[in-house]
Amino acid sequence: MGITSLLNLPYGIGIAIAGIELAWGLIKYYLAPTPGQRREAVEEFYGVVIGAILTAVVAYYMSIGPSIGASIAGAMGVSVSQIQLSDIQKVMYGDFNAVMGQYIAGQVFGFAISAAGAVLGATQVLRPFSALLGSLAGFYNAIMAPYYRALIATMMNTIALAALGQVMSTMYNYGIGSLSVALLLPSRTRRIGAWLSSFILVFSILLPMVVGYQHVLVFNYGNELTMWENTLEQHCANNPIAQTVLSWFVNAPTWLQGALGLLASAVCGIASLPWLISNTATLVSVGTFNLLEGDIVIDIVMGIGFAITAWLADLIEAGARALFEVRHL
Amino acid sequence: MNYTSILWGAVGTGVGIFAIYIAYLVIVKGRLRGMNITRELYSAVGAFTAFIIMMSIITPLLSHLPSLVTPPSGGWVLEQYDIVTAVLSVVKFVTALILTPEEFTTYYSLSGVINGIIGFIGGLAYLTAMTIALYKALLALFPFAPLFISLALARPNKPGSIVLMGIGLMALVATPLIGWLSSLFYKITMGVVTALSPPCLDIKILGVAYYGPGPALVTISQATRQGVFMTNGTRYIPIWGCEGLQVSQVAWDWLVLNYSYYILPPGFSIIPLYGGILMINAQLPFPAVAIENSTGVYGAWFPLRVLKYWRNGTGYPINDTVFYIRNESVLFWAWADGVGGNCSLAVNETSMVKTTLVSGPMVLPMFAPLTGSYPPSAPIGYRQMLINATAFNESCIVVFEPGSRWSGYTVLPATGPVEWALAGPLNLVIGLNSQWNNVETAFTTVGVLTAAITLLGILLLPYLAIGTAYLGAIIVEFISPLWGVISQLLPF
Repeated sequence: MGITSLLNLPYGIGIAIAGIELAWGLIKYYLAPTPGQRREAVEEFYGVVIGAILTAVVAYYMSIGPSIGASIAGAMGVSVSQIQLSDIQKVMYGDFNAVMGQYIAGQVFGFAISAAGAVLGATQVLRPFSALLGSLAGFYNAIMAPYYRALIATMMNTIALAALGQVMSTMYNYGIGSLSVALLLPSRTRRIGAWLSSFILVFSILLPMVVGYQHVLVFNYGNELTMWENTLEQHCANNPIAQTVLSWFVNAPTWLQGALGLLASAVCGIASLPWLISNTATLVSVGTFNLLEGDIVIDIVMGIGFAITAWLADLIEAGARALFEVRHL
Repeated sequence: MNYTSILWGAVGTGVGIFAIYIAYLVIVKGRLRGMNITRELYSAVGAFTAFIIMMSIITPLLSHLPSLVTPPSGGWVLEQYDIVTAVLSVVKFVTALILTPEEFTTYYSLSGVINGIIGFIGGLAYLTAMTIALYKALLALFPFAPLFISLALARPNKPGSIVLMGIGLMALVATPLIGWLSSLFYKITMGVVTALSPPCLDIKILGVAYYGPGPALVTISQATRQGVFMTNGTRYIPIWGCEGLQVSQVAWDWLVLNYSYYILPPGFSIIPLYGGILMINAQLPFPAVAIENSTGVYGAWFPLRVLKYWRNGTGYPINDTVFYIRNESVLFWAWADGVGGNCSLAVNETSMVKTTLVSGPMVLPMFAPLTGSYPPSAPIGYRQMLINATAFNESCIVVFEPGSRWSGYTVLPATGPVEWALAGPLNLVIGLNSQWNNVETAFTTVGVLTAAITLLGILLLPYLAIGTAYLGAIIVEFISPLWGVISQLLPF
């Protein structure tokens, strides 16, 4: 990092505010009319210097928050991705898209089978086929039901984390971290400064840590449906009937080939039932449980984060009062 | 999650926070600003001591209480749910295959029943998995509970401290209780799943070709289940593919038939659901005449042998209830309500052919109509007789009186997986009824205890803080003289 880059956002804002604080301290010193008030100004200047240093480095603290968070999580035996504050919204949006994609694909697949069954069921002759497709849809929806619940919970988490990430990122980019420390100096703005500083202190570490945890969960367990379909397709790749049927549609549109391939895999899976059931149960259940557990962990941790913010805000306010309050000699 | 790491992480975090806080009090407030920090220092040192004491109690607890270190496997619960659900769904699938379009009302009813079972197990499994997940999350939080409580004690009069005290106490109290609750749910779900657990995941459809008097009631046995169905010739039945199959009885009109059977394996294996054909040949020990009309069977009889034969003696059946004899003495076997004739008849009851009671399908009574209609359990108006009819120099009409009707048909064969699906809910209901009181008690206990202790702790926070402040005062006043001596010895 070059010296000139220190003038860029958000460091520049922090350094500029720190400079203003120091200048204000000096102005008070030089404008003090009496020796007693000058001594007071000197006393105050020590605090101002500490405040200015804190103001200047808080942006740096915010930038290293993610690595501190990852280290803390690692020390506790939890593996998390290291995500910068500015990337949180993007990462969570990507996770939301991935999870929503899985959810929609799963629902559409189940609906397609069910709808095909309903259409066939309109005729008496084809009613057995309708029932076959209906039971196939029932099979699919039933085993996927817990997974869908886990996906919904994950989606809600990603939305909340993305929103918080957006707030933190904006605060970081516009130097609100530095400003919050600067607000601790004047007594009138000390309380809001304490709350802002506390929020930034806690969530600069906690939010990237939680987001990293959520991202790892989504990465590992959010795409169970795709994994399940791939496993099924691999298992059925050598099924002679499926391959023969698919070969009839070589010249068909791609979407039709894809749909038929999926249907052929589903039928092939039904034909090798014990494999399908045990494979699906293992694959879906482990991912589902881990997503659910992660969802609860994140909810609890975020709640605690807000409680600590409140606790720390009081402490910071008291500390700031002790540090920056002018003592009349 | 590594619980030892979490525990030491909590210790390190606590020591770090208190060290920073106490250093801040002493250096910034005390030395730099020259403020009176006595009360704050007493509170901080007391809270820090309380934290150390609580951690030294919790550390051995964490490694000794089994419920705290071994959360049940939530993944296993969901996996078992998926397996039971998948097999139940396959039962629907198989049912759709073997029923004719005219019988589809049965399919829709069965589908509704199975959906109900799936919904119930799904709810139970989800609740269990969520409780276990909550417990695992709380378990990770548990070692930090003393830290939250200590932080609250250090600065008791702040709003944030009340929240921290609540969270800390809740984690401390709720973790073991939720752990107990999750174990209870796990046991209940495991009991339900075990009661419902299918013998295997391999379901087959077996074709049945029956040759013999009908409609016949066929009983088949597999390793874990016995199933029955009625047949007039051909039909399909669902079976467990992983278990061998024996035909254990063939009955017709409550009479146990002699039978032989074999299974023709499927000629090709492209459709693995297809399990081949069960060929059954059944007959009475003799070629009996069935008393039968368009509505069903009403008994049977057979002229076993001619005991005496005079000149121009003759005997022949006129229809399926009447036999004509002249100048003969004939021994009949009959399965009928009675016998009459215009000649000398000697009737003796016999048990020459074994009879059976019809138990019907082993499913819950409410599901029995889905399987079809079965004969009454015991024969009504039947006697098994040996009749000696003698007609010397006369013509004799022997008339067999019909018994009560043998009837029945099968819509859905109550065999293998279908019987399992329709009998399982009974186990489930019995199992849950015996456990439900425990569940209600558990919920209430956990809720009330957690809420009560948390509220009490919050209310007592100022008084507890006074206690820890006294503790801090004792420690500080004890250390201060020592520090004075040490600081005199230090060169800086």
